[in-house]
Amino acid sequence: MSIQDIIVVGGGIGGTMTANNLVAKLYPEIRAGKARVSLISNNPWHYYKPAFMYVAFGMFYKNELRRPLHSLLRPEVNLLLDEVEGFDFKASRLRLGSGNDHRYDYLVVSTGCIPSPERIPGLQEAGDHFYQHDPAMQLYRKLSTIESGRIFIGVTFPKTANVPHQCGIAPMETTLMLDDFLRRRGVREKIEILYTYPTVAQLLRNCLFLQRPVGEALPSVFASKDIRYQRGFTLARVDPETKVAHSEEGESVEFDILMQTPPIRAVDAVLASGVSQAANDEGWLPTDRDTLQLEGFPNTFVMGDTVDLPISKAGGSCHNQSPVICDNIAGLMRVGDTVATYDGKVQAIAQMGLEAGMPLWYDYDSDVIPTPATKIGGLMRKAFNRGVYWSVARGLI
Amino acid sequence: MVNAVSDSLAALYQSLKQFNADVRKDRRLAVPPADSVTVHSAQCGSRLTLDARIEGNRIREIGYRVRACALGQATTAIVARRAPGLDAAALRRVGAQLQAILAGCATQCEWPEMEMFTLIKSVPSRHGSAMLPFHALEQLFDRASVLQPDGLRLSVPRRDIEGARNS
Repeated sequence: MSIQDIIVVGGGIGGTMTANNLVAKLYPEIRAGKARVSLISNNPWHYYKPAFMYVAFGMFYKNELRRPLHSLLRPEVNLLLDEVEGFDFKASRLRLGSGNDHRYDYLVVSTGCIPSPERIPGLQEAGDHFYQHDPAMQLYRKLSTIESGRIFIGVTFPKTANVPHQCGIAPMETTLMLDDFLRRRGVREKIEILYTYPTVAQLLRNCLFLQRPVGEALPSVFASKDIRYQRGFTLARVDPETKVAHSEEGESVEFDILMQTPPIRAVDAVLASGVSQAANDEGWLPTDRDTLQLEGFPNTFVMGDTVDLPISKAGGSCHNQSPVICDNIAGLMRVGDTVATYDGKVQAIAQMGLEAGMPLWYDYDSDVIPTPATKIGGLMRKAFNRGVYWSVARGLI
Repeated sequence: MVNAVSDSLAALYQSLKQFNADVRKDRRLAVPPADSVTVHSAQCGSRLTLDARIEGNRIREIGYRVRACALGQATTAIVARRAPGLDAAALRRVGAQLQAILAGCATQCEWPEMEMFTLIKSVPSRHGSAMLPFHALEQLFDRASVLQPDGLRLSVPRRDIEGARNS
């Protein structure tokens, strides 16, 4: 009997925990030499990506937020440091940068997404974001030296209907963190913070957050901190010379720092696979909402940022998708059918300022119910940032 | 007055979430015997693949794959519940009523669920998404009428379906 090859592509949180979870799930088959789990990543480091937003406030440093990928993987995982350059889903083959060609029996695509500020004219030159390490460091340098003026916060959604931006809560989190950060620096009174939210197709109406209950709670939170807010500002272009942000709705606002959640897209190899039907060449893979299989390719599963689900592109989504995918691969191998269903569950602890936190969860049917931010919530988030996360990546919890 | 509008929006939000849950899981029909079209709204990127088995100028069965904003999901869910058994004329009538509601020219529809969309008239960029199932049905009846020359044709005026087009 030939060995069943299961390949996970992507060394982020989704791929890492799924490779570990697959080994746990398929341990009898692996021990018997009937199955092999491989992880392909183009980076020897695993980054705790949510920590990038702390980098923007000088609270996390590079060597604190990354670990060697191999140190997080169970010994049974076959780690391949290589670049997947082509997905041939029809033939169940991967083309790698090293020139190797890999056949697989089951595939998990967890390749994340790429911030693409260049998709909005002027944003690359004049805007800042915290979704990668180097841009977050650049933002930190600005936030730690600005003495007066306006910090403009904006959010860009994908054009694909019902697909949210990366980490739905992050713009709100960083707005509150920014307020605390500037107060600590003693410059808050001279700096105006303006939080804006776009008019986007995903929303039922114009609001301050994607989900209605949180959107309704935000004005009083912002008002208590003297944070200005504005609905209906969809960033269309930025003038780097004059530092003016122009909206699709026809408004123009001057800024000193533009903190903009940028457009995002799938990685090149996923874009080139030709399977996506997403708008604006964004590349999200058509994913079965229940089984997480790639539509039309039952031996391929998609998770994390690469899906086209109406679910936050965040590690809290991966945490709930990973067991479903592992169960379904085991089901296909053992009984010939999928056996688990994803309910859209996502959970996180939102950072509400530098010290407070708010546990949250939602799924396909239920919205986040906002609760008061507390110190104990902040401690939970710190515990997750500094320790618990690495156990999650290892598939231990 | 402000509270009344806010309460109505809250009710609309809840209604949409319930309808959206109905069509979250794709329900596809075998083609043939069913026929299938894909339409999308260029303005918001909403996309709908609608399958229908039409016999004797009546919808016998509906299938769908919805990747649309909340409005397109909700109207597809309502159409999927209501359309089986109806003919092109009946669906044309309801499509026109929904269009009038979205345009702010009417508040009533023979399918009462559609009346919640009176609150959406101020969001024209979403109207194309809401009309997607009717635009798809128009095309499906057009095709069926070629095979069944005596069939009535469903014709929601294309010019009024903002951004909707065949993909």
